[in-house]
Amino acid sequence: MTGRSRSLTAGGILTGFIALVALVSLVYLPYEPTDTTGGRLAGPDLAHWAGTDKLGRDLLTQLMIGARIALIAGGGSVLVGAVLGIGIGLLAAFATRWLDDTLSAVLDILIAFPTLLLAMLVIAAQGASLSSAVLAIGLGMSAIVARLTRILAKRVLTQDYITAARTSGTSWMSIVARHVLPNIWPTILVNLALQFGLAVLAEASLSYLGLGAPPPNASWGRILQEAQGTVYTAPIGAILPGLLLVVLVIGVNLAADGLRDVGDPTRRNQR
Amino acid sequence: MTALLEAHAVGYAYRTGQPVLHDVSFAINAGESLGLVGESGAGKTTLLKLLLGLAVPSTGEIFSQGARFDARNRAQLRSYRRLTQAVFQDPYSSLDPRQSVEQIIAEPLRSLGIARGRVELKGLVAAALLAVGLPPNAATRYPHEFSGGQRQRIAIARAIVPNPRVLLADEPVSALDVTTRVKIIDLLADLSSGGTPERPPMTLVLVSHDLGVVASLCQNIVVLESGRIAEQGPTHSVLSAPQHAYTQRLLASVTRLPGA
Amino acid sequence: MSTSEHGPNLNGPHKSGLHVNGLTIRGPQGQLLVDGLSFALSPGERMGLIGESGSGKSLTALAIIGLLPADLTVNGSIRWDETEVVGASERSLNSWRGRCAAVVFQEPLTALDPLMRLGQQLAEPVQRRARADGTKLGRQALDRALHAAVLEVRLPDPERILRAYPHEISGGQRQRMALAIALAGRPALLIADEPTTALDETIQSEILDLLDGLVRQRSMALLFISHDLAVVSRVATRAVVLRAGIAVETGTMTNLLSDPQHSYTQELIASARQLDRALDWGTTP
Repeated sequence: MTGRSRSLTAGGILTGFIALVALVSLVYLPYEPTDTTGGRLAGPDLAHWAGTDKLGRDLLTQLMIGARIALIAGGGSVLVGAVLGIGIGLLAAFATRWLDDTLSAVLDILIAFPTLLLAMLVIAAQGASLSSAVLAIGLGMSAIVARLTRILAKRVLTQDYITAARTSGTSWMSIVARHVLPNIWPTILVNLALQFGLAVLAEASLSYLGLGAPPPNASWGRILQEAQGTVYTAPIGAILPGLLLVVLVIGVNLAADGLRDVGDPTRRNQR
Repeated sequence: MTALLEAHAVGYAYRTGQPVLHDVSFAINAGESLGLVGESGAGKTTLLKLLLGLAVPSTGEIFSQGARFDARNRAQLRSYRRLTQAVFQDPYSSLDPRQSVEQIIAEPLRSLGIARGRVELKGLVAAALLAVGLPPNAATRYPHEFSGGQRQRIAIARAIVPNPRVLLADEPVSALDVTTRVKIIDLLADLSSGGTPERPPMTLVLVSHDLGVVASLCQNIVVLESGRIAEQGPTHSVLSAPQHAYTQRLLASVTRLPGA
Repeated sequence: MSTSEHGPNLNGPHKSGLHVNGLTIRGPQGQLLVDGLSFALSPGERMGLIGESGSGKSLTALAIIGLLPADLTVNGSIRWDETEVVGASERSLNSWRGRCAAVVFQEPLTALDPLMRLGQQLAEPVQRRARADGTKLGRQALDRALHAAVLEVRLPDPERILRAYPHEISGGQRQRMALAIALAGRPALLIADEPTTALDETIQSEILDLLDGLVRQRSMALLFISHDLAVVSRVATRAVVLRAGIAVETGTMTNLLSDPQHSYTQELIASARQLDRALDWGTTP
């Protein structure tokens, strides 16, 4: 049953706003992304609601496309990280001692590896693009998710209700689906929300370094990078993408917290 | 009469070679409840795992209704589970906190393919709740809303819903308050003696370190010491005239209430 | 006939021993956990605190020694001799603990530091006591004192025990060491909270014998907390029955067992008797 959660509502509104902007960008953009007809670094006016960047491109258009990219980067990475991470984590939890130790060692190495460095390796191999960024970030994320899944699943497996499920005749597959996953997903969900935010920031960092999606694809990170040189004369070019980043990251985290609370049966009817 | 459940020279050792059980033999006849008594390290937990098909004996054999039982055989294990169910010690760990009471109790019905259709399933769950003294509206609630004693009742309901012939209980009341303990013992006594055509009486196999609990519920008793059987026989005779030194020590160490 | 006790009269001349007066403990949301508990324990007297889960017995033990979690509020008075525990500063309580009062808990594995050798853990209170007495123990004197302490709790092979870590010895041996550590400060009041519940039956009775003997020998006051009536009656002469934070009945063990007044006490005793009697007759038909 649904329960009330202020976090969920607030998070939903914030995330929803960004998602709306991204959706709208698919059907309507004020200007062409490559259109450089606006004056350079013009302030906000009726023609350009957010002003223009240093090449004369409409900033609002850039930001709207950036919303799309941020959601793809965050969502895509989380998808890759979750599928890979949860899969490997469950494997490690059920594995024999030897296999578990080996997997854990590999995961530790991956975690210790700086995400950006990892991303650069992937991009060097695949070429700079949004999809290689998503892949790289997702890969780095999967190691953390795997470690978390492994420890949560192991803890669940020591509980008597798992033994009871076995004596009830439940198969291991069903046990994972009906008992293990439902008991670990709340914590993992919150972690994935955190990772979403980090992924968006990571993609922004990559774009800032020039390793993300190449122009004319406008990631908020790249907009920030380009606005760097002119931050004193035309600050709005840096403030807006930064603000939108903050809104998205906070929104996703609040929504995940709320979702976790809503799905928790122990929060209702407290004895 | 073929024994319901029988252990024949059962032994168990860890892969490292450390022996836990050695040459354990006993028989459980229908209607004769059995108590497995011993202190920690006696091997009770291991024996329980073997009797639940969660592990396979290193030596010796287990017979279920006269037929050799091999837990590695899937088909055998499945039909064995219809006959033998379990209740565990910790009522806070044996119920999945994210499942409703109905889902919890219905699990054996689903996994063993017993109920045909949702209506029959709900009916069986309701009957089980009734049998353990819980109200029907408990079905839609969650474990955290219940006390330790009530949770244990839920666990018992789950165990009896597939109508097993044997109910294995591992320290079922140790984690409960004294006043609750007695109520659950009465419930178990009820389920193992009384019966209706829909729910024939079950044979209780009780594993415990508490002699008082075992004495309240079991007709026969097996005393385990360090993986071996020290003594076994009818509870009445073993407790009134213990032969083995360990049994005598065990009895002597129970703190009794002064004055009867 | 058992009597119900009214609070001790603190208006009269100063009384020694433990005086708990109107002890009220509230949880973080203001919920009542212990409500107006009052009882008195004279020096050298052995008393039981009987209660099931949720009765507030363990909280009372922690309150007496001043170790309640910070998010609980305490009202009322707990007085041992001259010292008032409620509201006292951590500093003053620190010197009072170990020297005047000590606790033995249920689970020795968590009560002992798993990373410290037992000899080290025992040396600490022994040294503190010596300092309080005005002496300082040299290496050899300390060794002798430690050996004596281990032998006093009837553990053979003190050398091995003192060098060992808690997980290297058995549960019963750990509890004996926990007792030795508690007694090392030579406290006048010992609080034992379910000290034998986690142990096997055969070990249980040995520890109870030991505890009983040592307490008598040193004329210590003992507050024995347990849900197990039989165990309490073995060690205590008097008891308070707690239920949901309220003392429902007080009296001598003999009176409580033979003629309980309150319905809850009656239920408690009836349940205990039912299980106890089963041992005499084997299974009930």
